[in-house]
Amino acid sequence: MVNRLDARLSLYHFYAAFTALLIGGLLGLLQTLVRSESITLPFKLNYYQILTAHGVLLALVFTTLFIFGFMYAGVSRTTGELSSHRRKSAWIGFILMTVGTVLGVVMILMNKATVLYTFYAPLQASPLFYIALALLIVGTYFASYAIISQYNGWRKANPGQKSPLFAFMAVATLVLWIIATLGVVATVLFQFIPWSLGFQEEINVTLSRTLFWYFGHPLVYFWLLPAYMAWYIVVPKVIGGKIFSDSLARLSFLLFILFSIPVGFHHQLTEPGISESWKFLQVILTFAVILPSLMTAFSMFASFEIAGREKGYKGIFGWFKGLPWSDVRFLSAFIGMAYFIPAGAGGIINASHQMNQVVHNTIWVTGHFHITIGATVILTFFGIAYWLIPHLKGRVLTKRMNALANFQIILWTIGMFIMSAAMHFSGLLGNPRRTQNTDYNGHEVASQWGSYETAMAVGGTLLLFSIFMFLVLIIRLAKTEPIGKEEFPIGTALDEEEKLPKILENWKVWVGIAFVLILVAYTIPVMDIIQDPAPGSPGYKFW
Amino acid sequence: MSRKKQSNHDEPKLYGTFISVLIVGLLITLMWVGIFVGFM
Amino acid sequence: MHVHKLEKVWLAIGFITLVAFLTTVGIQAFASGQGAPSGLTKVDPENVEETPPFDDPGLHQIGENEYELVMILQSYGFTPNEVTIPEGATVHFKITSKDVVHGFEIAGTTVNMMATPGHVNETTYTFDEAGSFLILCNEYCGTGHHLMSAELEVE
Repeated sequence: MVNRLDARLSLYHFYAAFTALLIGGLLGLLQTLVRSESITLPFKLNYYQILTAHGVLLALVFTTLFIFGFMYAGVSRTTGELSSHRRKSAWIGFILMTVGTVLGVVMILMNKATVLYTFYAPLQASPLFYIALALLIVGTYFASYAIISQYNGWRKANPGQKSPLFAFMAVATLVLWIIATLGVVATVLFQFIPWSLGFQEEINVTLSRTLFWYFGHPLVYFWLLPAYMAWYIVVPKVIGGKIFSDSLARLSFLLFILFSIPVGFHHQLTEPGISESWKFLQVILTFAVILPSLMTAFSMFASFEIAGREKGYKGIFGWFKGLPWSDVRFLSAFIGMAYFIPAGAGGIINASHQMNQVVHNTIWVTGHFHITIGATVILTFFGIAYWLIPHLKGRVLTKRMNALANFQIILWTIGMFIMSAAMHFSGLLGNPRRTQNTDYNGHEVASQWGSYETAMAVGGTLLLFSIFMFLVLIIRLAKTEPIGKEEFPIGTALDEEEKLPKILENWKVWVGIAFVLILVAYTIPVMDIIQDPAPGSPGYKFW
Repeated sequence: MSRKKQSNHDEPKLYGTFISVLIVGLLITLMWVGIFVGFM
Repeated sequence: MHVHKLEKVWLAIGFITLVAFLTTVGIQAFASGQGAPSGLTKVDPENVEETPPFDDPGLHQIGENEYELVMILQSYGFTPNEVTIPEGATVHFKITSKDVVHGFEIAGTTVNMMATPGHVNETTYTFDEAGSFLILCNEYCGTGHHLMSAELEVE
């Protein structure tokens, strides 16, 4: 059981996250309707304003709040209740994140920050928008302290033992997050805030973009790794099997810390001011980050196969029938994994140096991150919510609710398939992302995109219905479902009794290697950008 | 016979896993090659 | 730490495949010179029109069916915004932005690069087929972003 006070902490994060999901999802549907020319926006709202809010609320706020809610519950479950000063730090973090979110959204709604969630300079938002982002990030530091300190406390109290896998993975994810955010903190604190306040007249655009993408790529791994935590730890228990390998699971998370950060240039492959050889070096490092995902794929199938064989299923693929297909805790994660096949392929294509020119800033890219974060990650998160909310509220996920939850998951799967397929295919035809309308004076090239945009609106409609259904189910699971004990599934590993190689829990080594790689990949190009800068830019407010 | 017994003890049977990941790898490779050949 | 034999084989296959991908794009980029656009020339965004080559934007013939096309991007337009070239022409694009970040994409081709203020970006493309091509901005540059386009006729 999760301690009552920790459960409350976790639940508040979920409620705030789901509020962001509802508003962000609604705005997402509005975008597809505007773009397919089905509606025009009311209340003087403009497309780019709601696009900014959609990105901030879903990519930054929903994900971060959900992830911390999940981590608090799991860390409390596996290492014992949070000590009171750590819980206090966690609440401070929650308040800072919430205040930052509200302030940021208010600035967007006042049309003072229509800069999209990537806020590329020299478009210049109100300083309060950048301060809001800073509050959000500072909030995550308080939250990270609570979890990392809890993990350290556990290790001190249990010398010589290997830490619980859940806590280890949570810490690995947060180590990645903290190193990654150094980039965005630097650019917001030393570039955007002084510049938007008027203390600095000009901004170094290339530097701001480089620091942003130093953060921007590991950001996507910050979303993905909590889903991997559920795959590695929760799913094996749900299917009645074992975690394939505790030590390999830890190793894969450590490899993500090493290789997900020194790779930001692969988001800047077509831009000037960075020499091609440095871009290519980071492309190589990007490919290295594929290896831990290949390890994860093997571990998942292995745990399925071993579980099936234990249950007596024979033959090469007999175990496939032994999987609990009607259990939403499994089905949601499995569909998430399946989505990661085209998502992974798309990611490799995006990062393949000049191949990026085929898809860069086309709606293919939007399709890509809607099947990574918007399918792989969120389907797994839906699945977590279905057992974790009742667990924390002392209720049960009944058979009937499980069936309804499966329906919601399928609805999402179909909606996202329609929308993201349309995005990928029309992106290949050149359809740009982040664009209100693609009429282009009726140009014949643009006219072939119209039917795809209708398909996006159809997919978007299904997705919003799926969100509505999810929220109704969650409210029932929190308020009206039968009282009882819902399991918090934590798997045990096949190699549970084996000693863990000491190096796998020696953080100094891994953080040290991570910094060496970062310095190798970034020092010279960043020195170039700073010491021999292009002429700076004043701020523009083109909205 | 003893050799067979030992290999069973050492490593679980994962032929299904191996074929599954190979299919995944093949799909990814096909998509990459398709874009490279078709659009570059 | 024990690694299953089949997992080793799988990781080796994955590794070799990734190296093959990298080698393929690496050769195309560095041996055939078709790399990602990475212009390193600087230009003052507030004096673009006084700085060569942007003091004379437009199409300039530099060889047999070979041209340089100099373009200035600003919210929300391209200068020039109508260009005609002969079929089979090889065009060297040189672009920059006068204000915010823009994108330079010719839909349906691999001409796709960023224009950031302060830098000149460059790429080369050969137009083997006649037709009407759409040049568009693919980076958000303000509320009129979707109006920013130009036309390239290949005759």
